[in-house]
Amino acid sequence: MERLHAQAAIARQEALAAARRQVVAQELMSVWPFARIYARSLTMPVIEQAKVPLLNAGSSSIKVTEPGNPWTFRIMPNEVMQGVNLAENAYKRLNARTAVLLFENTNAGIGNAQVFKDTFTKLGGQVLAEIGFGRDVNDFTAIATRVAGLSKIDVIPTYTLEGQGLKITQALAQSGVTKGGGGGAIQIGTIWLPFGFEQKAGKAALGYIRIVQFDPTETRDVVIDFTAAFKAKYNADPTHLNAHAYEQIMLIADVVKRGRKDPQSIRDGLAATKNYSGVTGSVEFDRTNQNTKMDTVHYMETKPDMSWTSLKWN
Amino acid sequence: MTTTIVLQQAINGIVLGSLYVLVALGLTLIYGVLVQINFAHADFVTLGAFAAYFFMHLIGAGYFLSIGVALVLGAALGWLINASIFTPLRRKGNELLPLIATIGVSVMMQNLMLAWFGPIPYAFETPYSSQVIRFAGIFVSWQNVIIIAVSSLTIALLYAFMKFTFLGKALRAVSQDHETAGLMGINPNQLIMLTFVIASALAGMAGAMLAPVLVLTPFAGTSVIVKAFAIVIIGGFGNVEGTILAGLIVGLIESYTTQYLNPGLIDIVVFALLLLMLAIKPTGLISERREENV
Repeated sequence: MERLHAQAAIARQEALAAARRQVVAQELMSVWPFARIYARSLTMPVIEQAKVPLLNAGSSSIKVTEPGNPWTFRIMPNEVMQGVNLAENAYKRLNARTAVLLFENTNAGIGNAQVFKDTFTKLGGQVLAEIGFGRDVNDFTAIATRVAGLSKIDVIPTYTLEGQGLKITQALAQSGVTKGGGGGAIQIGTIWLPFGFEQKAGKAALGYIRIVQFDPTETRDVVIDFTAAFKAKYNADPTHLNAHAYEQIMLIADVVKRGRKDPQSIRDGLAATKNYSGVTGSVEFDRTNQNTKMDTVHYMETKPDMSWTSLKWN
Repeated sequence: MTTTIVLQQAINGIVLGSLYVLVALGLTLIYGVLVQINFAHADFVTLGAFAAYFFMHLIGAGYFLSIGVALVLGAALGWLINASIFTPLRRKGNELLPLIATIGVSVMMQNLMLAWFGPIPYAFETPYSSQVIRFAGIFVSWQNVIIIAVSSLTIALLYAFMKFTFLGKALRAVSQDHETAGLMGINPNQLIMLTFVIASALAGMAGAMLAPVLVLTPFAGTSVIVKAFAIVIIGGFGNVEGTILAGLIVGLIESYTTQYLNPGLIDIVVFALLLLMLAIKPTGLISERREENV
């Protein structure tokens, strides 16, 4: 097994070169990248050409699986699964009727916001504003001011990465819009933010409800065993990244245990996986190789002490 | 409500503009004296931000002391890089060499910071970040009050230095004509060094001021520097007053674009203004009167 690094600034070239180098020079059985969509969209054709199965646990973009690439599998929920579920839960469980969408102007940001909007408005909800922003925006006070000037807001679905997410959450609290700032709006989101976000954001994150990839408080044996073993070995709680990496490896191990030993048969074995029970949920792929199991969608809410509680909504 | 929002966005714009001015002032000083664009300026800002962060969070020093440390570190680094890289290249007589070197220094600094600090964003909280003043429906954090106060003080000090001190007058003389200034007994090389030190100190300090506002990563300064370049051009390359005016205008444009159009359009509006300025008044908002003898 070999671990490859490609830093964000050079991800495109590095990812492509690394994929070519590894696929051509070594007889890979499978790969498990965490890279985001732009790096993966470059490596996917190389992987497909070399006929090596790729297990994705990094991007929720529909474009990873929807073109129908037989060699690319996704074990995490895609943006549609998350977005529809989030909108339904906002409307039905949180009784939200109004929403303001905040999203980065990227494929993933726009895609996530669109799915939420479509589902939420179909249910009867109203989207008061859709505010997209570039990745170079640093100061979110102006955006928070605009949001604060709108009428009563129930939920604020936010789709952005950790750095900007922190600043948005703090600005919304400062402007008195969200629960963290004494307001009534609840910030909600899909898989974008890492474990530890709440501690960085501080009190501003109070009441933030978001989907995470892994719930270490689950009571299934496989989760209890994994969490205990990880803690014993590394003296730390496992994060979603640890859980997904473990899941990817154990899925391949499961296929190998079923007698598959070369890339083609491993691919076929993965496609035939039924009701695999892993640490992030169960796994069963559809015709596009997307995991269809909704128990991989875990909701958490930030508590006043900046820890979080699992909402057990799925 | 509408008046409150207009006022609130004006405050937001002035805060943002003040930050831009702090970054852009160093650029404009260097351009004014050397007629050179310093692409590494953004990385001095980032390094200042990290210096303040680590000084405050690891050593437990106060925020204002951390700003001072960032300023001193910026000045020292500016001196070191100018002495070791830019000055020897300038002596070769090719103006392109130091310009290209600033790009090299920028890439090197970014990757060094990436190696040292990693790509994960840092949360730089000061005791003033979460303290908010509210009055008549308007809110402003103490951090932003500090930004406006420190920026105003810095601008005033820099202005006074340039206008009323011998060194400031000498700097302006060098910026107008190196050779004539030299004939008047001014050592242009020493003043170029002084310019680099002041500009880098300003960048370091701007980093410390920006850090609690920015998404703090090794590329933090890069996200601001493009706007700073635009501000320097809109204000008039090398013109301090123009840079201040342009910085505040761009900050206000950003706030009001966010409020009444869409934040996704900010860059389009700002850079449309830049193109308009280049087309109508290429010398900038406030152009310096320069007399050339034939």
